[in-house]
Amino acid sequence: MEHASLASPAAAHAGMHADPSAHTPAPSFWPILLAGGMGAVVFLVFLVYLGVPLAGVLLAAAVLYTLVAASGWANTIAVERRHMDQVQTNKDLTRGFFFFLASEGMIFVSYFEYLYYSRFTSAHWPPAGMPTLETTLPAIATLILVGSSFTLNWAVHALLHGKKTAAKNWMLLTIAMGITFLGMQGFEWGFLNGVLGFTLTTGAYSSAYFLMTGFHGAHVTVGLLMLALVYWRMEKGEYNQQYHMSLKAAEYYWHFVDIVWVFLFFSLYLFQSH
Amino acid sequence: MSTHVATAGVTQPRQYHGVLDWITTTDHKKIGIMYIVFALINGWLGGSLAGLIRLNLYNPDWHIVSPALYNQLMTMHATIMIFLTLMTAFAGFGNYLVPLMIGARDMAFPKLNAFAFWLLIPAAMMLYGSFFVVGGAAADGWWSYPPLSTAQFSAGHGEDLWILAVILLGISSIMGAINFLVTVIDMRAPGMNWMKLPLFVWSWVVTAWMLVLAVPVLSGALFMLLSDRWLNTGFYRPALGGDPLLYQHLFWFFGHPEVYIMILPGFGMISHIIPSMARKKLFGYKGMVMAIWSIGVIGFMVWAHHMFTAGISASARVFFSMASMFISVPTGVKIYSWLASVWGGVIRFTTAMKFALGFIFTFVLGGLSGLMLAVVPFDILVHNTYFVVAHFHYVLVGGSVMTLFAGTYYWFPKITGRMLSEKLGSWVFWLFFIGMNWVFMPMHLLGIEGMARRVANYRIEFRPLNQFISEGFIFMLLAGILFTYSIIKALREPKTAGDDPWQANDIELHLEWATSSPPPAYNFAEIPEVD
Amino acid sequence: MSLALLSSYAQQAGTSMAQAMAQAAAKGSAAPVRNAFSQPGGIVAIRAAAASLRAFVWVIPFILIAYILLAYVIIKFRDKGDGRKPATFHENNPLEFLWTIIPLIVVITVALHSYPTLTFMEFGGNNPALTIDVVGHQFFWEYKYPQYGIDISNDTLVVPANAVVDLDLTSVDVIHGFYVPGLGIQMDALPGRITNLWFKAKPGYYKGQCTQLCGVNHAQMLIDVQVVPNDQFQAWLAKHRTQSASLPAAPPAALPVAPTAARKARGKA
Ligand code: HEM
Ligand SMILES: [Cu+2]
Ligand SMILES: [Cu+2]
Repeated sequence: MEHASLASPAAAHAGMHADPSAHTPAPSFWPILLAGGMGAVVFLVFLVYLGVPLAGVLLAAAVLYTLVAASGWANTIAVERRHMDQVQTNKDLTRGFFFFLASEGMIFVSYFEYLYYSRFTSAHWPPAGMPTLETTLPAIATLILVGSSFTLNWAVHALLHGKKTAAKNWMLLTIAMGITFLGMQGFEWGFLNGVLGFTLTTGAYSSAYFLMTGFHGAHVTVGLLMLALVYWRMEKGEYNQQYHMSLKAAEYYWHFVDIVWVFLFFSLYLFQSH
Repeated sequence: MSTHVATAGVTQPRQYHGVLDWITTTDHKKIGIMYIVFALINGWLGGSLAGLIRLNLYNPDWHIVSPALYNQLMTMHATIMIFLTLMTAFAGFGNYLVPLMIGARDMAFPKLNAFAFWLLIPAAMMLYGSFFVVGGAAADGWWSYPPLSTAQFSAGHGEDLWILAVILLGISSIMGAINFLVTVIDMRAPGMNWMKLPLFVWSWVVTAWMLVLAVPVLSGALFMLLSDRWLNTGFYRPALGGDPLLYQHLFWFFGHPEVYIMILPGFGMISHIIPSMARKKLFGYKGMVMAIWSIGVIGFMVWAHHMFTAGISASARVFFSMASMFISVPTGVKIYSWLASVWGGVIRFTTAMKFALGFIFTFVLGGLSGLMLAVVPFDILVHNTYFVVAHFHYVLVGGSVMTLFAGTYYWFPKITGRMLSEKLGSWVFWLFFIGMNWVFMPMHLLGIEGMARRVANYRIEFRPLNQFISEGFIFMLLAGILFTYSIIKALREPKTAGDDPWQANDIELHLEWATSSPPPAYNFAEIPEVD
Repeated sequence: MSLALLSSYAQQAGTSMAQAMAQAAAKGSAAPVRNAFSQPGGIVAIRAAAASLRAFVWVIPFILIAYILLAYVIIKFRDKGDGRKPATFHENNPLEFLWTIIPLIVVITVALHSYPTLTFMEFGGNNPALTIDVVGHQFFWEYKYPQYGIDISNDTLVVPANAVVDLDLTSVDVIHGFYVPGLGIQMDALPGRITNLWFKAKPGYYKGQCTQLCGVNHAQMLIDVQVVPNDQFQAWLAKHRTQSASLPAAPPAALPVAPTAARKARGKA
């Protein structure tokens, strides 16, 4: 704070050059509505677990309501941003999203910590009685998912160079690859569950396996939804060279999901014995 | 006092009034006030639980509450004080002050800010509501260690609600933290470069980083715990090859950063109050910033000092003991720098300053008992005894709570435009300071005499000290009553505080004192330029 | 004063104070009750208490320095209304360097200083005369003497004096904490794991309790240890062996891992 002083002391105070209240954020009902929705969802999940009658229906309603609130919020922001400094808000949102991904990453870190801790403290790996997982199919799935990061990159690249058709095609391909990945994961789960009898409750190792792949799968699903939304907005021609914040966000998210998978693939499939 | 003419331009956003105004607000100042009020209410509720605990411990075998209820009270006391009082109080001051201090008109994401606050409400409802479900509230301590917290040993649904509520609270903190980070990175006024950032802002930057990195790990650990309870998975169940010790690692990976999350913003407050009341610039600004950062970084490498007796390896004990030692060095740097800031100054003993100096007194003791606990042979002798209870109450009550008192007395004029009574303030300080030491100092002795913590009952030989402690609680209670009364009283008085009642800006520039009290909705008529 | 001198002083102070305490405690009766680590009843407890006191001796100057400075600035720099102008300095790099580096050296010293004791507490119990399996239950302790086929529950733990006693701890349900401060020992008993402790004690009664929240009756989960001369211990063994034999064999508590095997594994690790 050595030399901090006010450049023009009066200005902070009593200036009346422009209407300063134009810069204050507008009030909004969305935050409390969404918070209530999220609280309700969490609480209803609990009631469903308790087996309270009708809780399932209410939960579905609450989820729907929360989604509506979330999109209402998103819509307000989209409208507001038209009157705001695009460059600055883009920067803010991108940064915020980056921090969000950092915290998401830390959830995965806690699972990896679990996995590696168990691995280095148990005498056998995979633990006694647990099957060694088959690698070929997951390897192909990995290639597909990693590939989809590239196709997405090309889609963004094409869009930024004004090639809208090419961008849409690459985007479709990306989505298709993502769905294929999910399908292969589903097949794998079915195989492990049905054929090998390797289920969520077989042991700590299987719990970790299903939690990690399941949590990741949920992220892939969310990523796919984001990509689908982006595709839809591409169709409507809403993006251009400057205005493509949500595209960027979806892209970062997708890369994030891919990177996490690569770690998962190495940890769960590739190096199984020690 | 200056007047601000809010011209009714066409771009003026729509305004609501009364309750709707608070419900829809995206103004960081109103959200900050709501956080602070929320914290005060929860402080009272959590404090009442402490009162019940102390009452129950007044005599062995008294059983004012059943042992089962005692465990619930003890667990909920900690949860409420940590998650609903201290964290939200600091989030409140952060929300109110950070944009003002960096010369911004609001946070980067005003709606997200409101969202983070409103998310507290369902979480709090679930926590308090859990007292009324079958089996009562969670009773496994705020660590919620499995296997005790698994379905087999805690069948009641209080534990489920506790886990869900803490996960929600975690989401709220992460959202808040992201907002702080982006705000400080992107919205500083022109000329407000990093090395001119006020220390309260710096402390929130580091706190927010710790939140972003630590809280998700708790969520992950709790998610696995919930899945063990609900889906019969085997994460922490030895019978299925799981390991309860792993939960402890994950929990404390969050838990230790968490304790610094609860004190760093308080450090920041003290770094404003002391210079301003001693009429002298803060000593060693750069060293202070480095100290906060090193606490933030080393704080992630000491977690297993909470697990010295959990059967971790000898080398882990050695490593974590050494790392914990290191963390007291930057803490010491802060203490010395505060003392050097006072050195040569001209002290005004306002209530804020009394709390700040009182904080130094208690925090030194808390920090050094922490250092003692990092000595493994000593920790083995007193781990999970009242000595540890004394340590963390010295740093949390003598530390965090005292900084919050100091901060309230210091910034209340800014927030409300009114002064808190200094005469009552002096009473609040002395009652609290005496009560706090009265209650927590003898706990060191209890620990050294070997009384375990988290017990609803104890051997007869511990009675004298326990009674003495319980009696001291009355002083803290009186302080709380006077403090609350003094706030209510002040709120009925006219707004006469003026822009800078402490003449803080005569010493060095702090933007929050450069606007009116309370500040207008837009904070600054024109974004200030700092040079 | 040089660091070495200081530290040797601290060491002496620590050890002799602990010994004085032990003697004071021992004077009372032939078999004193020792509830706290300030009445150490054996080499482990004495070394741990001494290490603690040593660390404390290092800590005292820091408390004193901070408090003296605090009192000094409060008294000296009050606003006495004499219009004195506050000083303007706000930096002093050498000073800041010193108050970083000196505490750093001291805390490293404190840590290093405690490691020999730590090592002793961890590995010092070679060739135990007696090995006992301690099993935590909600809400009592079970003690097994595998060498003698004795298995007692909810009772006093009886061990011989002046002999290395080795405890292998585990639990059948939740985590418990085995804490006897007068013996200088504390260790968690976790399900699915074996943790380990050792001590060597003087005759006497030692009280302790469970220190890991383990459920409703956690507070009632007390520990009583009786350390007796070897001849009394032999008599006790003889009595209990016949008792155990006359009782119908209790179903063995489900131990997930055999303690001895685990101990071997731990020794290796
Ligand atoms: C100055 C450096 C510090 C050191 C070396 C230190 C060390 C320790 C150690 C070793 C423990 C574990 C004791 C045990 O369970 O046996 C502990 C517990 C604790 N410390 Fe500190 N501490 C320090 C400062 C702080 C600060 C600043 C805070 C918070 C503001 C804090 C809050 C706590 C809490 C809440 C616990 C107990 C948690 C629980 O068991 O429930 N400590 N500390
Ligand atoms: Cu800690
Ligand atoms: Cu127990």
